[in-house]
Amino acid sequence: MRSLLVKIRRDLRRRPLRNSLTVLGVVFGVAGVVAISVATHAMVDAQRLTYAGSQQADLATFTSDISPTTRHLIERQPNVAAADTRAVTFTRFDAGSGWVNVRLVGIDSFEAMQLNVVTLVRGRWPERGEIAFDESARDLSALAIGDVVAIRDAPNEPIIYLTVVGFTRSPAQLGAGLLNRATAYTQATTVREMTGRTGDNFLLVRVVDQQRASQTAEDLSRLLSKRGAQAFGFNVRDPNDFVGSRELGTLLLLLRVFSWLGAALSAVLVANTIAAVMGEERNQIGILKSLGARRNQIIITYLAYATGIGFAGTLVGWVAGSIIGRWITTDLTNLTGLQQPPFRVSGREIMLALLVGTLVTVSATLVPALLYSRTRPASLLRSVGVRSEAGHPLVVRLTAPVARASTSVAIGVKTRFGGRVALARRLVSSPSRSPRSSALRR
Amino acid sequence: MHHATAHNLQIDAPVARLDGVTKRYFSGRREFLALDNVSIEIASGDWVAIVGPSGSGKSTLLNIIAGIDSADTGDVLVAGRLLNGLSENQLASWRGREVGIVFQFFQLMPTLNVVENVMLPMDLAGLGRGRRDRAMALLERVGISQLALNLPSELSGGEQQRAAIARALANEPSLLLADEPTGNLDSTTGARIVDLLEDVWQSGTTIVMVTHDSAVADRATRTITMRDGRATQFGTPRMASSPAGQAG
Repeated sequence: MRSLLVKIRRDLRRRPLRNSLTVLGVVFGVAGVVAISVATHAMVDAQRLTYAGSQQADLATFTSDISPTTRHLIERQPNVAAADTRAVTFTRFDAGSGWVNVRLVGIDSFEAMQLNVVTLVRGRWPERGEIAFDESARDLSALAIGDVVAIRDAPNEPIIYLTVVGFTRSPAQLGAGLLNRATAYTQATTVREMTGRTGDNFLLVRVVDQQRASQTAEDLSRLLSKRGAQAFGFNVRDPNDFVGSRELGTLLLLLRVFSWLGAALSAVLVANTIAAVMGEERNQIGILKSLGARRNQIIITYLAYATGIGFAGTLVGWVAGSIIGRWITTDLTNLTGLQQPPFRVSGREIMLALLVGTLVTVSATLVPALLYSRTRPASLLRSVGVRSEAGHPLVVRLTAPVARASTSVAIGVKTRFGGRVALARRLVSSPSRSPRSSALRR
Repeated sequence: MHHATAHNLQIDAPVARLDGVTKRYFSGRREFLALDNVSIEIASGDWVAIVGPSGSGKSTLLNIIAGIDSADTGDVLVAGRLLNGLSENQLASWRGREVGIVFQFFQLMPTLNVVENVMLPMDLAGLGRGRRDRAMALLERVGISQLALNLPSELSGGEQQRAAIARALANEPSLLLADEPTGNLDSTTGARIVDLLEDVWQSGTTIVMVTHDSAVADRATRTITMRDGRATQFGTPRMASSPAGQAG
């Protein structure tokens, strides 16, 4: 087999352009599937990481004013791990390019945030008269540190001017581009003054046992009611249903479908190219058989060729897919406010790449290799060339009416499909069952 | 029509015996009778030239003796094996050990160099050590050892045919089959190839050769003339010298 492996190694170098294009076909198929798989699993990791890293709240509700005393009381309730409050208002801002919707969040102390912890990306936390925007706000308005923005609820309302001092990343929150609404942070007193409130109006709670989160929400509603405050319906976080998860799931499903369609398309192209290469090898298979090569030697030889092509495509495709998957993950985590997880090599993606890349090339090679390995060497060595009727009576019969109208069209059709009809016939009928083959053999 | 039983040669220990062999080809719906009830015997140590016009069935006869094509009817006994009914794998193993084939168009593997081409049949037959030494010895014998590391595309036609003959002898076959070995060569180069074949025959290898060239056929010990798929004439042209122990 050593000589045959030498032959395969040199054959791979003999057709550099075609082999490179075939590898490229495999790369496209593998990269698409791997990229979406990497992104899907990375998003699950991102969700887990964000929940753990930013102390995400399990319960959230708008309330009437909550005093610090009430908040401390909530923290001491059963199944409550931590509680935090915000002063939130929905208003509009203008940085010189038009009015934009904004969710303005007031926080007493940015250093003392316990839940839904916001990360400072650039600049510094805002003091009184200052504001920090979630970095996705720049999708809606050109913002830079040092800009002065106008805040106004409605056309006839008074305007407040705040200076931009930083940019943040908000955990588990869809990007401004998707929501068509920015998120910004300022001192809680500023928001209270704008809304005329004395306390915070947004309650965040993290529970100990998530299984009992709904019950805890009901208990807290009753507690707030007893203390003269009102909860306007708790949102209970589903660990598997983070913000935007349904939209993201749909997007990933679509991408997965398209990636598999792409893989199928590249498989067809790769199979077509390999079938053409195998057709060219017909004569050499005839020589090998004449020299004493057995079926398994021929099949192994050409499977080694296919594996070489497939493995190269798989390797490059996996690397490319991992990089593309990382890009997709970065984009999606920015859109959904999830924390980007570190890259990790997953055996699942490697197996997927091998499955897509190698299976296609090996199966595309196996069929002609099996076919030729059981064909008599004399037939393989006989020059086939291009024949108008190609010895395929079915095609001849089918094209007979066309031939009467136009000989050249009929020749074109026969040349185009004659070989495929013959190949299909030979594939579905073993030599022992084919009447003609039987006649030829005996 | 002459059959083996009818011709006037004394034949001992036939290395090949074909009995009532018929072969048909189909081209679309058309049937072409390539061999029509051919019966011949080739003795061990013979150098047989198969001659005849184009389309008379010479190459088909050679292919059937080589086991690279099958007979529709009749028995084919070559190098001690009845080829009828052997599977492709059995035929391949048998062919690798017993038969060396030289083609008109050389049919060397284009990406293997000359010595690798000669080693190929040994490799396929699973021969172990000493393949390269044996291949080099064969190339020395056919006079192209200096071209061992060249690719076939870098060789002249005559050199390629010498390499093909060395490859055919790689597994020390009992039968060397050559299909128009000089058909693609100029007359001078062709004559040298025939000299080489004679040298191989002198060493005791049985040769069956298809040729159009009467001068080449004259070098053989016997001729079989094919016409319209039938072996019509068995001759005994002159032979310069015979291999040791064989009658010419």
